[in-house]
Amino acid sequence: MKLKFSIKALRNIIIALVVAGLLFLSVAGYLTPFFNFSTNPIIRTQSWLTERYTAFRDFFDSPRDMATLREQNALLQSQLAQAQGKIIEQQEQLSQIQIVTGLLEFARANPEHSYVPANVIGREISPYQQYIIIDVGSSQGISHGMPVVTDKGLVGRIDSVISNASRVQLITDANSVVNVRLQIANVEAQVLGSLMGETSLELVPQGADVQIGDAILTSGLGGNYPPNIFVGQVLAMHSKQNTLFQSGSVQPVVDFAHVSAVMVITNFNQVDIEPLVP
Amino acid sequence: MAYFVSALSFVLALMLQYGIVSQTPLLGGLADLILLVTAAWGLHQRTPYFWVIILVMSAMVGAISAEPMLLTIFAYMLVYIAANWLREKILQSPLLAMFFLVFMGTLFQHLVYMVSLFISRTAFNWREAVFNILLPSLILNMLLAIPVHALIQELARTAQPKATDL
Repeated sequence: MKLKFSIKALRNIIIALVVAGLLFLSVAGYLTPFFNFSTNPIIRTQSWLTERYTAFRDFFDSPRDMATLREQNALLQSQLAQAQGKIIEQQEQLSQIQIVTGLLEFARANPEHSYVPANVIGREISPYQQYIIIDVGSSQGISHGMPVVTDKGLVGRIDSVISNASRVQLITDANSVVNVRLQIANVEAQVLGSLMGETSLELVPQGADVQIGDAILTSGLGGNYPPNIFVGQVLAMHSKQNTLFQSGSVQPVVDFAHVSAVMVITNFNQVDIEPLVP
Repeated sequence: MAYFVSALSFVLALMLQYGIVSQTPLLGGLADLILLVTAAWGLHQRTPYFWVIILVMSAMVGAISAEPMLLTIFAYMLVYIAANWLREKILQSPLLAMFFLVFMGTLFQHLVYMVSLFISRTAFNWREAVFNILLPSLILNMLLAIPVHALIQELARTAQPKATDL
């Protein structure tokens, strides 16, 4: 009996020692390779199984998710389109406000004139003519020959009028002639239009020292335009020895391709000097 | 019905011309929707007094345009008369007739405008007028001839169906 107990006790002790030894080896890290070797196949199998299960589950779940996502996407796109529409509308309003503010500032800076604001509603059909159509006419007191300006400077003058619209001859038109004064050089000259809508400076006296960038203002001579309206700047000068006058290129201050709002000077009446011309 | 639809198409073309087409130049050239619509209707109409519509519309264009009114009426009426003549002679290929009309019509119209400028002593360069205005206008008109022709053809079929179409 005693021997039997002692064998059992000895076996327990040995087991305890082995377990303690294994624990010690495990804590000490000596069993890691063994654990890796034994657990890797299990982990791989588990991963394989999980992947297949996930794929299987997604296969049945995804249509529902896709439908939800599509709905959300459509909703977001709709909201985005609305927001973009509002932004465009606000940008348009801002642009209009800037144009109107510019025109108002010009009117405040030049209080000697009376102005009627107008929108540009069309352009000339013939490519050989440089005209615009505006939405004010004789009903608003517009008449032939009135100068047309923007906040930047001179646009042209009224060529023909009906009750609610007018046709404006731009200073870039081939038949347009504007008598001007060069601010720094202090000489008189003429700005002529052309077929392609370019403007040139003509009849500049040979002795005049014209600088590039010199401001060009209306002189008021000829009675077609009031004086001191900004026309543009001298871009280049061409001078030949055997000619009486110099000529040059002009950079108009108004962007005629994008002009959308103008003002008609209504208290200026064109003076017809034709009977005085010999 | 044909008169109403054609008049409406002309008014629409006029608005598009002044509002959009005239603001999209190629070099100095511009497409002329009125000329295109005139040519297309001339090739497809079968009504006796259609020339009245062309006359009224060309007079309207002449009134709005800075070009002399008689010149505009003359140019558009001539295109219409040529279209009528072509319709009777080579009706089998209306698209070809449209191209021919647009080509010749644009050349003629621009020649008329240039001669007008020359007579009115406007300073201009012939070379510049041809290369920077006439040729780009011609290209634009030829490009727009196909869609305008197709559209007017459909409108004409709707407005004046043949007995075989019914």
